[in-house]
Amino acid sequence: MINDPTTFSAANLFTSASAIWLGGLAISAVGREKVKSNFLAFLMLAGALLTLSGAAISWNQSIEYNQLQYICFGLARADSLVDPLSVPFLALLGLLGSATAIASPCHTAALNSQGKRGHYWKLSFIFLIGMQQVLLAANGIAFLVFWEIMSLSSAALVASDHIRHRAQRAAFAYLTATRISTALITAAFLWMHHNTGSWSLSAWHFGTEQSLVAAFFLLFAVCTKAGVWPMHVWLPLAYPEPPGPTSALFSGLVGNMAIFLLMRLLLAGQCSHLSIAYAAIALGTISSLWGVLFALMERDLKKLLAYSTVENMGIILTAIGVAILAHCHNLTAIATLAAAAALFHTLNHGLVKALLFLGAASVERAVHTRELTALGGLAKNMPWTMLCFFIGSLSICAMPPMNCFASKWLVYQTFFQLSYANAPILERAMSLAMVGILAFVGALSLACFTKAVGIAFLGRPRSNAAAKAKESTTNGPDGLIIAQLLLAVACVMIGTSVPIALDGLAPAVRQLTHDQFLVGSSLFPIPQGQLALVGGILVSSIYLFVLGRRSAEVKSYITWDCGFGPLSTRAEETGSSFSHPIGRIFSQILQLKVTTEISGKDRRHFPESVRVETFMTPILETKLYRPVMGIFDWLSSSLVRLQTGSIHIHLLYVFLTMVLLVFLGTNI
Amino acid sequence: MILDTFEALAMVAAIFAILILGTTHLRTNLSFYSLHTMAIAAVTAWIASITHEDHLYLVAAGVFIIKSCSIPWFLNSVIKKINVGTDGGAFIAAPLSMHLGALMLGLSFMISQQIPGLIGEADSRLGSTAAMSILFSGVLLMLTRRAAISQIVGFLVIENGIYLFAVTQTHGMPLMIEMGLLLEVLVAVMVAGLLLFNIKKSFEHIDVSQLTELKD
Repeated sequence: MINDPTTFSAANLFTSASAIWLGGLAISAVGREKVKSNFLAFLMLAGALLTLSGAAISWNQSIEYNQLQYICFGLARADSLVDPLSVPFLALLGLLGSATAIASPCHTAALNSQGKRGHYWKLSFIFLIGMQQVLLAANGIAFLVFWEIMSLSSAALVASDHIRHRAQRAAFAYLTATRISTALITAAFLWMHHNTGSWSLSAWHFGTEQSLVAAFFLLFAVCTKAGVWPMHVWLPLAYPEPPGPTSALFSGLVGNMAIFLLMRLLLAGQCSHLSIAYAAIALGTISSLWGVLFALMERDLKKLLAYSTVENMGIILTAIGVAILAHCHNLTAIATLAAAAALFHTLNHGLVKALLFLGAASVERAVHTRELTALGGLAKNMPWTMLCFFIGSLSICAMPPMNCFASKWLVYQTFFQLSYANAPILERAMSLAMVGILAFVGALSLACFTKAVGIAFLGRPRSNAAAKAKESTTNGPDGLIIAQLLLAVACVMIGTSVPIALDGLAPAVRQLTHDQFLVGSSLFPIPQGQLALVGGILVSSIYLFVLGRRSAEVKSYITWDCGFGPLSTRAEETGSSFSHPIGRIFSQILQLKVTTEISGKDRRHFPESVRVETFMTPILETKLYRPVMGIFDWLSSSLVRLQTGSIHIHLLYVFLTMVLLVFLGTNI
Repeated sequence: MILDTFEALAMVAAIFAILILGTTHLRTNLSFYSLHTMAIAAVTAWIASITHEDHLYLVAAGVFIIKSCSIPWFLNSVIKKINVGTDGGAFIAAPLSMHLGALMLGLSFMISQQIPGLIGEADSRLGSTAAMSILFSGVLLMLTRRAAISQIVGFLVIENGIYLFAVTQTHGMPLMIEMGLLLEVLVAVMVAGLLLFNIKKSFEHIDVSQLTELKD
């Protein structure tokens, strides 16, 4: 296989990236006392850059190689396959890996215990290797092995602050979710192997009748791992937990890996089951609505971002569902559009979410809390973080010059085109309704990120810690800030050069939909980059000529307090009060309850104390998961009764089992 | 039905195993166990002479020396030292359990008729009947008796049943494995004997039905 020079060099690049990360793992495991964290970060960065350049070399062609053939997993060897679909994900891995590497040294420098530092480095390296090999795996066995390495190392990352009860709970919830998803994936793989007799991922075809069960298993496995409703409950617990820089990797890539699996098997495998398409669209829609509503109500900055992931995963899943639906009806143009939208939005969302999580990590590092009620006024002390977080927020709300605008625009286009395509009338009506739902979700997510930026960065500080926040540990911007800037620049660059990016993704989309006539740049005809340039020049000239002149006359006054008494930070709007009006509309879903207590002699006109409390009961957790957990508890506590502790009873069990086996074996 | 000599010997072993069930006197139990194991050693030697597998003679000698002489002698000395003569009270009375054992012999015959793969070789079927019956007797002994020493004897009887099954069905396993098994049994009994001392020392009795801490 290794004859072509491109194949050879790309394969070498990927393998040496893995080898460098493995070396980093070994060094951090053995010589952790002496090794400087800068050196380990350098190794991580080198691996990430090698992955990035490998992706760049093999951008346009499929490469199969078996440099790791001496690793054999019993049923299959560790064969690798780089096809157009995995290349964009590898590029994303390289980019986010670089950002993590840049941000890592200043994170580990702040850790006080040596053990924690070693833990951080080791797990990050294992996590990176696992993800890279998942993307490169050519057969099901290798895929599963590396998928497990990825899942378990990320679970350990979630548990890195394991002394806290919160982290323990998150780690258990995440472990449960990954166990379920791995079990389902294994079942689907076995089923497909039984059908086709091959372990190769590219040999599996999901167009046949027998593959329906496997497709459903895969869909639910991916929903569990990506955090789609109703299997998303682990996500707001687990996403905030990984230590600062790795939360970029975790939030940007874990869900995307699951989506990658779905694309690689169901889309590229030409799944033609209408039921799968309907299930994906339904789950995706509910998930996007649910995610954005809970994100809006959330008071914890990182949990807010996590719920926003639920929303975006829903949108991506909907687009994938439409791609399958269009494929079933032989509507190739729409299938292509939907696949391109899903792929582009997956990558954009990964990038933006990593950026936002780095911003949240930066805020948490400065203020030591993620509660929005204790933040505020950070814009003055943390200008760089503010800028990057603002860019990320703009992007995730799909504001025009940004990258997510392009991908969401593609999703909208998909639905509009489906609504007047040659499909059943019900599906056309559904796609029109979906346009409305998407617009609604978009509006809510705008509100949600207005809240995140406004409450965290604007206004006056709500706590002492927020007032004394310092952006970086050094004088200039340190690693965490530079990593954010890197990702923010990447967001803006993709946003302003969408046609180029879509041309780059065209081979991957061609692989997904087998549409040979696709021209990537024609998918997005808006000259967004040029408009942004013109707009930018216009705005800055207006600023310079109109507003800039007056800036010399700035005077500072005290804010008028309406005669209400001296203004304090408590008069500011809080996160809860900002989102309360919308929360009230959906109080049935959110289980929102408000109690107001006014006391004093003349409580009508001159109340002495006013006390307002809002309660939210997570309906899914209490109404669905708690009863299910209760059943499991009851079952296991009844099973415990079998264990009497008496030797004789235990012997009787052994004896009865033996008799049963003998009887089964002899057919008496 | 004409019994082959080794089958007759295997049946003798099975009957001795059932006789162990018939008494709660520990010394008698041990002597029955010794006779039972001697019969098994004889079966092994007889099979060696039929099949001309010379290593089986060594195994037979090992079984005779270790299982039917050393172990009963060791357990006998343990009984003397901890001063326990009879099993305190069986869950099923001794005569009843002996009759159950006889029933089990019939059941084993039924099962061995059904074992697939042996239908062609009719000659080994009674051997497997005896082996299974010994196994059931051992399990009954462990299930119904309270004294720890009976548990050890029951375990040894089960082990003999499995061994007899292997010998009659496969004409013997390799010498290394047989010797390893013998050594293992010897060590297990030694450890169990030492444990018995400790149980007696800590609890003043060897009634295993009162040891109910085997749970979370």
